[in-house]
Parts: sequence; structure tokens; C-alpha cells
Amino acid sequence: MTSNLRAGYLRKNGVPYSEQATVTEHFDIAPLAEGGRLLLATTIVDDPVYLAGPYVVSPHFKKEPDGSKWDPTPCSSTW
Amino acid sequence: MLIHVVARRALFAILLVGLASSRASAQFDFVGSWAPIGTEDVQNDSVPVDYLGLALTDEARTRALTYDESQKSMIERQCAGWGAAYMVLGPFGLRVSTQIDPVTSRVVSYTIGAWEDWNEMVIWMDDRPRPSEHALHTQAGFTLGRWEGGALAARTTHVKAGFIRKTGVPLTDQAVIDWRFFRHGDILTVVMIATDPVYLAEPEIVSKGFRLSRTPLDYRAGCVTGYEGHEPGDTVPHYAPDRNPFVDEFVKLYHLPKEAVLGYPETVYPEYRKKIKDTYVPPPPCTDSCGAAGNFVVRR
Repeated sequence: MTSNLRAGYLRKNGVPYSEQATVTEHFDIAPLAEGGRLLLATTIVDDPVYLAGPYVVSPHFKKEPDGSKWDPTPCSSTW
Repeated sequence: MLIHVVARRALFAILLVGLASSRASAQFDFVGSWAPIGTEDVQNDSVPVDYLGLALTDEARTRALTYDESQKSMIERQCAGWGAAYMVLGPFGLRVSTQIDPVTSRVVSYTIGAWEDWNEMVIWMDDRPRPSEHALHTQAGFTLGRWEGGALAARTTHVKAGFIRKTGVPLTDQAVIDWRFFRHGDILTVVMIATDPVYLAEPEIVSKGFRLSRTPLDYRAGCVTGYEGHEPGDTVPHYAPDRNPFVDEFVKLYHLPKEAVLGYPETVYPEYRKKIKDTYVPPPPCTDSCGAAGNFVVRR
């Protein structure tokens, strides 16, 4: 569980969460038939200020065989 | 000597109990009513031709482009219902019951109750043999389940040919659907992994959350047919695949490449974004009547 968050946005269109929000994450693994694996991240956001009930999403990620596709780039701002 | 025997038996019994309890703790209480969580975006049925995120074969794409949603207004098709995949594609919750063997007290099966347009699904937990490949195929199919690492794992076969999206993207009766059910407190997460050797170039994976409902859910309602614009015996509404009038709607609305909208396999993965980042031109910012068309943002 994550707390002590700075207030931010649940969605890019401006739906907010407050600094009192907590994020609870559960990580599960599901095998794929051809041998790969899925990582499932069930994420629950509770916020006593902006949410009347928990906000839940459960995105899944397919495991890559290695890190060769991991190519983060620094954030750059433009006018 | 007797003490040693008793001690060994006691130790053995403790190990058995420990093993049994660890197995029991790896399972969760699946029975109850699980309400759908509206924050999950799994509908993908607002636009007739929106195959984003699907890895389709050419055969599937062609077949999907022939689909006219008016088919569902034909009297003979109004109550056809949807296939097993609709568990995570549809809007309803899950009403789960169980059947217990009265002699052994073991769980024989779980049943996920029917909705008005979805047949109940039975998950057999008793290791019964799967039917012959020539056995009857149904909308719900035949499903075997087992507990695996704290999750309920299940596999559905023997489905009737149907759809993987409500917009007419097809599945054959050779499709296999693997399910994983995870419970964390009052949240149930369901993952569907659908494979189809004919229509899917890669598995279609959908995850969806449900919340334990204190109020029992009951979506049972008999399907009643009625006149919706088509007389019995009318021609089945359809398009020639190269003349679907909606093929460019999503493309024009969001300036997306046609190959992405039509579900070409390479467009499924993040690498595709890198491929088009230098050529993609987003629509101009909305300046007037934004959101006036429901899900669509009017951009001028």
C-alpha cells in the first residue's frame, strides 16, 4: 500500500485524487499457453476526499524474454 | 518402540494437516455475488469498426468487416446470446454458486449464473474427462477448473462459433479460453486469455475487476423477441468486406493508421508507437461542441 502521495490525477482529463489517497496493489502471475507469462496488477485507489468508492483497474503486462526493449528516455519539456 | 511409532504417526498426521491447511488457504471463497467495476474499460464497442488492440488474421478481419450490427435485431437472432468471452466483455456481474458432493463434501463445480443474453457457465472441479471434440458445442462451452497457486484456473473448450467483440470480430468453435480468477479481499480480478487458430494471430487478453456485493445479484430474465425492423426470413444484414461504410470512421476521428484500427498483429505492442511516432499527426484540439457526440469528441 502506498500513502503520503502528492495530490494528482486519476485520469489525464483532470479527474483528481487528493493527498489523502492510498493505492493498494496486488501483483499476480498468469501463465500463457505458449509459455509466456502475464503480470496482472490489480490496483485499488481509495480517496476519502474525491472518491465515493474505490477506483479499481487491473492492467496486465506480458513478460519480455529480456530487457532489450527497455528504452526509457528523459522527460523533456517544450513550449 | 511404541513411543517412536506413535511419534512418527503423530508427525505424519501433523504434516498431512499442514499440507491440507496450506492447500485450503491457497483457495478462496468464490461463491457469492460479484458486481462489475465500472472503471474498467473493456467495452470497445462504441464504433462499428474498432479492432484496436486485437491481433487478427486476414480471415478474421474480412469476416468482421462483413458484420452489420442489425443482425442482432433479427427475430431469429435476438435471443442467440453471446459466448463465454462475454463474461468479461459484457456489463454484468457474476453470481457464483457451487455444487458439493454430499458424500465427500468436495466441490463438484462452480456455476456462474446466466444473464439475459449470456448462458450460465459451469466450471467443473472434479477432473472429469473433457468431452469428445465432436460433442455438442454451446455458447458457454465446457469448462474444467482447478486451484493453482492461490488462483482458480479454468479452461473453456467446445464453444459455439461466436464473437470476441460485440462489433462482430469473430471466434471459431476451435477457440480455447483460459481463465484466471484472483481474489484480494473484496476484489475479484478475472483474466481471460482467448486463443483461436483461425481468427487470432495472438491471444486476446482481457482483465476485469469485480467487487463482492452484499446484495445478491440476479440478472436472470427470459429473452423475449420482438419486431425490431426485420421480418422473419429477411436477408441477413451484412456488408461486402470491401464496402463496409464504417471502415474509415475511427481512422478519421482520431487520425489513427488504418492498420491499427483493423487489428494488424504488429500494432498490438508498444513498439508500434515508435514506428509511427514520426508520421502520426494527432487531430487538432477541440475548440467547439466538445463531447457533443457522446463518446466522440467533435474536433474542428
